[in-house]
Amino acid sequence: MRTRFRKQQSKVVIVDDAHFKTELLTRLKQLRREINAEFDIVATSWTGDKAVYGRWRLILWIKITQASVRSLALNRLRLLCRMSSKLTAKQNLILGEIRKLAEVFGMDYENILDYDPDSRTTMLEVMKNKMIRGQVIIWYTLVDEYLNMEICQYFFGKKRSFPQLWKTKRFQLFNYHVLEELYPLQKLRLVRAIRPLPKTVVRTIESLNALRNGLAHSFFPENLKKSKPTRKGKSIFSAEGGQLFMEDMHDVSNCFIFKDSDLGIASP
Amino acid sequence: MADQFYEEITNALARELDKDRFELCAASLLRKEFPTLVPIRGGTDSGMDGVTAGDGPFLVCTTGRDVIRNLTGSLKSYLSSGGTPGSLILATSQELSQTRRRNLQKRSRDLGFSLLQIYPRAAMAERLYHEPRWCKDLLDLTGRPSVLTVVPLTDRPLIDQSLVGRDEEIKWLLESQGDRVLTGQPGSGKTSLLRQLALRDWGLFVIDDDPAAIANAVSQATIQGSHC
Repeated sequence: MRTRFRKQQSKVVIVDDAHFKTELLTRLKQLRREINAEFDIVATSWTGDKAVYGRWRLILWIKITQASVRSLALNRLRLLCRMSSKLTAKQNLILGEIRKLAEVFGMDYENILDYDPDSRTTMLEVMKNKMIRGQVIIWYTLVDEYLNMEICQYFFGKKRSFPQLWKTKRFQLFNYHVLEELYPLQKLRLVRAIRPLPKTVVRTIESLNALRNGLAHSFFPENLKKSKPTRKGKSIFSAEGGQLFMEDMHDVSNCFIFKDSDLGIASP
Repeated sequence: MADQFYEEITNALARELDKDRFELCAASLLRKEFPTLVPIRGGTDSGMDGVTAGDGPFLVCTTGRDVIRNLTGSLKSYLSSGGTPGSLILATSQELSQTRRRNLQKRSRDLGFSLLQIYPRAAMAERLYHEPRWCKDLLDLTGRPSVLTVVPLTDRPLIDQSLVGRDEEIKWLLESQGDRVLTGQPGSGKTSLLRQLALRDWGLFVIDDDPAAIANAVSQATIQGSHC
């Protein structure tokens, strides 16, 4: 086999599912010594339970170093194919657009291996940064919209829907010359005058306003004095900070969506 | 090819085969992947050589060189006998390049069918490898697989597709030295990756854990090698 392998330039013996076959590995090693052959053993193993099966047992058995172990991740393409088959044609089309846009905008973190190794850390940081800034802006505009709704419903009532109201000149003028001229904090004061809002919600909206201003006007918001990008002491650019931000935003959202229920109307 | 028995099978498949036997063989071998697949025999098959339950694909087999013409004939025959376009699988004893496969896919689409999977010669050879009965009945081969082989023993379908997204793993396997372990979740493609490399004469799978058989295979190979 030694010569044959040399001749064929193949000198590997493959033991598939080797976590079941530790005796076979031993036997192969023994044979290799006995006949002085020069083949390598390549074994495959489940990632498995460290205590019972899997690579750790295998590593101990054939006494190789961690550098000789390679973990095979599930193929992303296969996962994507699996996902695509469960979506409708339209959903697949949108998904394709999202992937394309992620590449165009440099947000395709799943392709990080395609980036230059020296720039991967920076690129990942930039992607995370873009993701969080985007999320803060979206929530800022959504809260602004909630405030607009409250004000409009107060002045125009709830009988007509917004599309119907938009057809009236009165409503158009109100939006163009009143709402568009007001900042969110001014709208917040107006809404508070209309109906009581929980203090926590008010504080959250005020801090969202400061956070948004910091992120929208500074590339390095961490250097700002007034608008530090933090949430309850945690950086907004951390998973924990992001989680806290989302919890706060959902509380604000509930306050406006369920305003006629107990959830929304709390004592100020 | 490092595996003599595998080479014998591919050579035998390249010869002229009994079409009816090939159809029966294909239906039998592919039943692992399509459990309800049953062969249709004789001249009343309406272009189908096997069917699966419900809306599953039907099987088209061909041993002729002009695979696309035979496939077209089968599909047209199926349509003319009142069949409605659906999905199918194709088994052939011919080798197929990527272009020929694409053309087969396109032709199927043009006729309103969806060609789910193509099993060309290499795919059939791998499925025949561990089936001595069909090796004898179809190819008249009485040999047995070696303990060291290019075809792993696996219950998963051996899909004849090129590897995508495994460049780093292949580089590691080809360039690193010494005993190595490739780990991963079931279905992550460990066997498939190594099989592709084995087919390129990089290595051989051990498919028997009988110590005597292994010792015999290794020793025999060593003796053969010493005469080279």
